[in-house]
Amino acid sequence: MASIWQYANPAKFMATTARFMGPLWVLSIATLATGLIWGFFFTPDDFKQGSTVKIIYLHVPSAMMAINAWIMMLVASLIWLIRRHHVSALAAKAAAPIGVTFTLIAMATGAVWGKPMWGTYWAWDPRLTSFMILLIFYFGYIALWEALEDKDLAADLTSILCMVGSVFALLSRYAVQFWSQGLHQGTSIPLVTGERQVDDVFFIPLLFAMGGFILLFITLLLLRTRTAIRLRRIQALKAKET
Amino acid sequence: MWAIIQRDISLAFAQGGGLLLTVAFFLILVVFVPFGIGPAPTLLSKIAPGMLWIGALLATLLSLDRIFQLDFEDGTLDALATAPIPLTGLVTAKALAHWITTGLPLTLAALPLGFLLFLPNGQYMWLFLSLLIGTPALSFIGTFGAALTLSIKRGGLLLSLLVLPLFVPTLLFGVQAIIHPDHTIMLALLAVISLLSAAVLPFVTALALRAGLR
Amino acid sequence: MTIEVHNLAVSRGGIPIFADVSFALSQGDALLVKGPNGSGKTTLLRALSGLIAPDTGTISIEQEESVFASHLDAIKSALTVQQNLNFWSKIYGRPLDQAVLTPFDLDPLLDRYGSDLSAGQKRRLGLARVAISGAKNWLLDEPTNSLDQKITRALEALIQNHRKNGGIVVVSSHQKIDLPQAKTLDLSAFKPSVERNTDPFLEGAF
Repeated sequence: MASIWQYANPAKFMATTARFMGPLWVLSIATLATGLIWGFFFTPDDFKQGSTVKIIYLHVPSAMMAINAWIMMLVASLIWLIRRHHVSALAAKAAAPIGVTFTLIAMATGAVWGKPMWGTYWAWDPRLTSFMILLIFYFGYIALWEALEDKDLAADLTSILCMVGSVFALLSRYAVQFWSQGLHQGTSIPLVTGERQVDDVFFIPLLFAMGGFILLFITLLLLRTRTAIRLRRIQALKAKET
Repeated sequence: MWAIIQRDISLAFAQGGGLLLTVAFFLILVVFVPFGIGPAPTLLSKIAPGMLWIGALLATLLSLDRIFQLDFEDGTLDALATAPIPLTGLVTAKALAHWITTGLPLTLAALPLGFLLFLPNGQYMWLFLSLLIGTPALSFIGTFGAALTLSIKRGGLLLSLLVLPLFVPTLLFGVQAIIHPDHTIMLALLAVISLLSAAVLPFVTALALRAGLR
Repeated sequence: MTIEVHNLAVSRGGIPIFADVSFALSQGDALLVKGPNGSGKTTLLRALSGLIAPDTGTISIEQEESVFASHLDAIKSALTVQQNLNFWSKIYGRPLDQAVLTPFDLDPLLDRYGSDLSAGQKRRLGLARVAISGAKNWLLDEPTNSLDQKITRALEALIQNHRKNGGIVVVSSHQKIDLPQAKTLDLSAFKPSVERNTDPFLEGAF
């Protein structure tokens, strides 16, 4: 009975996650604080970009999580469509507003960084445009959840939207590259080649910041999922009484 | 399937069918462009391809909630969904009928409207081809959006919010096919979007429709 | 060729509607589904026609041989009666047989638009679609609503004729409809008990 799917049962999920919430909060705040304080106060200024480069410790992790939150929603949606685990559907729903927040942080920090570097807060650069499109996808996804009263139907339709949206978001990502040359620098940490463009002095606190953002996402996601589960239980209890 | 396409076409031409409304809306959008940015021919001719595509796209948007809503309200959709025809076939027929009654008229209407925006002479053919190849994608994507919002009363605004981001690649390649020096490559990419939408989306749309009819 | 339903339970929007419904119908049978509003008559018919999936239990029915008539009549108001009939005959791949249409007395209405029909006339046209479909299993939701005596008698005769030819009819109605030797199913007797737990969010304690 040691299947991972047993946590798809709401009661089991609530019992298990309750034990992790405290440690997760401590761990995510500690990691995030380490990364940010180290990054902001104990790293040298970049020889070209000066101290403005330090916004990287907010910008890169939030941009990464803005996309990862959507990918997590896609996975959770597929689990709902295939295995019909209610917790999975609620987790996808719970992730969306967190994803929106990360997207907004990435865009705001990007704008603040862009002004001194490119001389403009905003440009229709492929990456910036892709994030704008991602933000609209998040809004559509949330709006569809809100518009449907039947919760199972809402879970079905939003999952389908998430699936189709992922494909079209990817298509858009490549389409904008034909349409505009970018200002944005290439990725700092290419996963494929493994060649880092960033010196260790900057990179290690960045790793902490990224880890902190990942932990913060997991913590917030569990918190929101737990709230959503409680909300569903209240609705179910109310429906039972009438 | 042909029966559904035929019926939808005659419904579009019938009273309150919306075919003329769609084209008229396109006309108004295009006429409003010089009101908004001024009558200078050089500027207008520069933005004409993009404006015509955006106009066609918005006019398409306007017609989307009719795809399933009327059939849903009068019980026809229940009857069709339980009739011995596959739901994917129904969805494909609906999308094709929508293209014939919306995408095709808009493609034809775009040519005289290009004249109003001083579209450069060399771009008429590319405008025609890009709309002809691109608008089927809009119909299939729109049919998908219409199926998602089927059970939502007054879901028109939500439908727009869901469908517009899905229109992005079509719009980008559609306009590039007119203004990019290498027209054919952009047309090919646009065709890929249309073919992909037509081949894959009906299955997903049928899934959404099946859920919405529960 | 039968319809068999075994221990069927269906819920809508997480709320259980009915549970433990079982029945079996064979050629020539009719089932009259009764019960107050909200007891799940429409839900049962939609489940039989495959539109709603059951929570538990099984439904055995030939989907391709079934036709479902909801309380809406599936009529296009911008098309004439004739055009409406032609459309459905093409969809079901069956020719428009005059004999099929006679009982519904549609001849004088053929050139009228759907929007100009009275409620009773619409219902007649809606039922004509059922006859056109040629399906063996008729699933009729409240077919006698807004029908006058004469047309109700005609509908009864039509159902009898269909049964004589080996068809099966499931009718939901809270009005009087006369179906000789019909089985009846009163859904108010199948209300799920309060303890019945279909919602996974009610399990356990937290």
